[in-house]
Amino acid sequence: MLDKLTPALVRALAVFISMLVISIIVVTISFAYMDGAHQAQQSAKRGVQKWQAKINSSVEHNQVIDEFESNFLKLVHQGVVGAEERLSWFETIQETTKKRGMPSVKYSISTQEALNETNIKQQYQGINVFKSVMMLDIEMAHEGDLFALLNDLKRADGLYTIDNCRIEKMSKRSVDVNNNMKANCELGWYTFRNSKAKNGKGS
Amino acid sequence: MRRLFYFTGYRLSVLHWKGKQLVGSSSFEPTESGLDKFRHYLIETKNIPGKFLVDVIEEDFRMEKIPHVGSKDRASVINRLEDRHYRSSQDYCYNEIIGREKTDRKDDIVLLGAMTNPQLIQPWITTLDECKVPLSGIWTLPLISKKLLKTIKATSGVVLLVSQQVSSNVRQTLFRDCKLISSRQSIINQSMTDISGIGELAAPEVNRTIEFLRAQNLVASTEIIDLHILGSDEQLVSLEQAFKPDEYLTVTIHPIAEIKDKLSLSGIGSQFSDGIFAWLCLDQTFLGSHYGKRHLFNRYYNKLAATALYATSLLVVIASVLMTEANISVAMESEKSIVLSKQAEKNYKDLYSKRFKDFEGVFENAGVMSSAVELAERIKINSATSPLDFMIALSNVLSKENIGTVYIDKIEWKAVNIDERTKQLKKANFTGKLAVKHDAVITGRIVESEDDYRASMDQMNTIIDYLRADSRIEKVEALIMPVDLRSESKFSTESGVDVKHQKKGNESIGIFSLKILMKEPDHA
Repeated sequence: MLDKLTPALVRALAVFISMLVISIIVVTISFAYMDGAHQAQQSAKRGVQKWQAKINSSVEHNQVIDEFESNFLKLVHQGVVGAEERLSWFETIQETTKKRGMPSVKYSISTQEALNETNIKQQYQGINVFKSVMMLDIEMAHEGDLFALLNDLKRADGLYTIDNCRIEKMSKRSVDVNNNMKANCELGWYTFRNSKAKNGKGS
Repeated sequence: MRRLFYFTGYRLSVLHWKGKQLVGSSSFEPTESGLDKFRHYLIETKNIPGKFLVDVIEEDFRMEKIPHVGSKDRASVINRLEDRHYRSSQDYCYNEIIGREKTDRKDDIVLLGAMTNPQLIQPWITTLDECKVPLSGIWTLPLISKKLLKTIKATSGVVLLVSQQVSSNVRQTLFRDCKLISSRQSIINQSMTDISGIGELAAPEVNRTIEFLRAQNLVASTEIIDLHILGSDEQLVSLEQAFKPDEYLTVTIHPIAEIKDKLSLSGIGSQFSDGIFAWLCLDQTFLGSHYGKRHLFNRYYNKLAATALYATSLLVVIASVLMTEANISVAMESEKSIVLSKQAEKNYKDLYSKRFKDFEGVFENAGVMSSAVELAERIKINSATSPLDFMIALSNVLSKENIGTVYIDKIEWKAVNIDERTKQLKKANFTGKLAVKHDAVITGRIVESEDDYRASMDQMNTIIDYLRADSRIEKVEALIMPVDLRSESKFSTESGVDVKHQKKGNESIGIFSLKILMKEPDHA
């Protein structure tokens, strides 16, 4: 087969192979050069984007702080953020009881527990939420005493919700007498803490 | 520049063409000195590829019928035929299927052709090979002359083409619908200097040929033969006198000069038609060689391949240069972009350091602040769902005038959510977005009319209807009714004068219990 090849063809073949090899080498080198430059360009772009994002984030944080700072500080002062102010709650109950002459108000409070609702982790990042359950056992002349007490508790340091309440007339007679009613209510007191704070305490 | 080696049976002419112009020619005698001169000529001139055209008397054409079989078998049959008829001309045989019978077995009709004395051209071929001339093929003039039929408008019917390439011969080639059927060359005794009397010399030969063709049944006795004669201007009178048309013969004489003009050829003589056929041979590009073993033309194919390789090499180089250039351009653009990006990065860094760096610690708390404020707001909104809210809404309904006197003795209230998936009530999550609703069981009394159960039922139904009609109340369910006459309930009572006295002041009658599901307060 090869003996049929004329020198001219062999020369042409040699030239072709040489050109092909040289071309492949040159093109490969140029591709490598281009790829390297492209990678470096991407890296440089990422660098720019990183700093842009950092600045944007800072601007955003700044706006958030501007928007929320005063309300946040109010929460801190109200004892919603940070440690619980249980004393304030008890004092408020005592004051109201005394002021309204309520015959009997028994109250107890459970140990504070962290709330692990999924929506909290998803929607409110950066904070841990705790709840203390308060049980109220009240004897009163009428239901107004209960609502006065609950209303006064709103001014105490903290944030609460009423989970359930049982209000009952002690006597079924239609005419009101003293100690006519009793109520058992369960309240939840909420406090927030920065999740990054050491030992989960402090704001 | 193109080169044609034209062998006329005795001497070899070399014709150099540039486009359609014959720019030079040399002739070599078949003697030792002639061959030496030819060799010398080949060595001295540029070694360009060449074609070899033969026009010899020692050439035979015949038609054979072979069974219509596959290509492999057909090749085998044709090989056997060639071996039978032209054993000594094996490398100089030609075959072509020119048609198929229309009746019987519908055999293929094959044209066989051969140089019966190939030794005539062997010295020339050997010399060409020695001088490494790339020969592209060996063609035979009768087959090439087919290309002239279009020019002389003789593309259909039975055509007998008569031409003279040298003074001593007349070539007569028969075509049927442009397909070569037969060809023969006749020797005539014509003077080298005076060719005007060709008619008298050629006519007997042509007549003999026609008789032979009709005798061989290659042309039917009643079939018209279109005789086309090529002649120089000085031969026209003689040809017109010698060839007269008859019932079965038409005669057309084509002046060589006219054909030359039609083909736009220049530099060729007008005495004979050798120049025309030489050009027709050179003009075909893809027609394969009629004669000769393939290895004879290896040098030419090698040259073609080499040219193709050089062209491909050039293309490869151009492509690689373009790709490299493109890559480098892209890379340089990237480099520029990198410089700009670095500058931009530095600017951003400086800006950050100047304006924000010192507040990094504060910014970390931004998320905490927004989360705390938003969550507190959410809890406050949800905490509006309280017993007080429930009782206010309830008293708004129960204080309607036509409801009558109702005492509420007990309220068991709790805050609930309705599970989106199961639609079941569950303990309220005050941190969530789901509405916190009231779920309460109220127990109370109505003042029953004496023995008037219907009035009691009406009052309860009125209470329930009013509750249901309230926009905030979603669901009301009667758990206990003062007069429960529902099919699913048990009910017992008594009546009489004594009983009536006992009933007065009895607080355990007229008791009802309702379960109410109420919407959250309107936060707007």
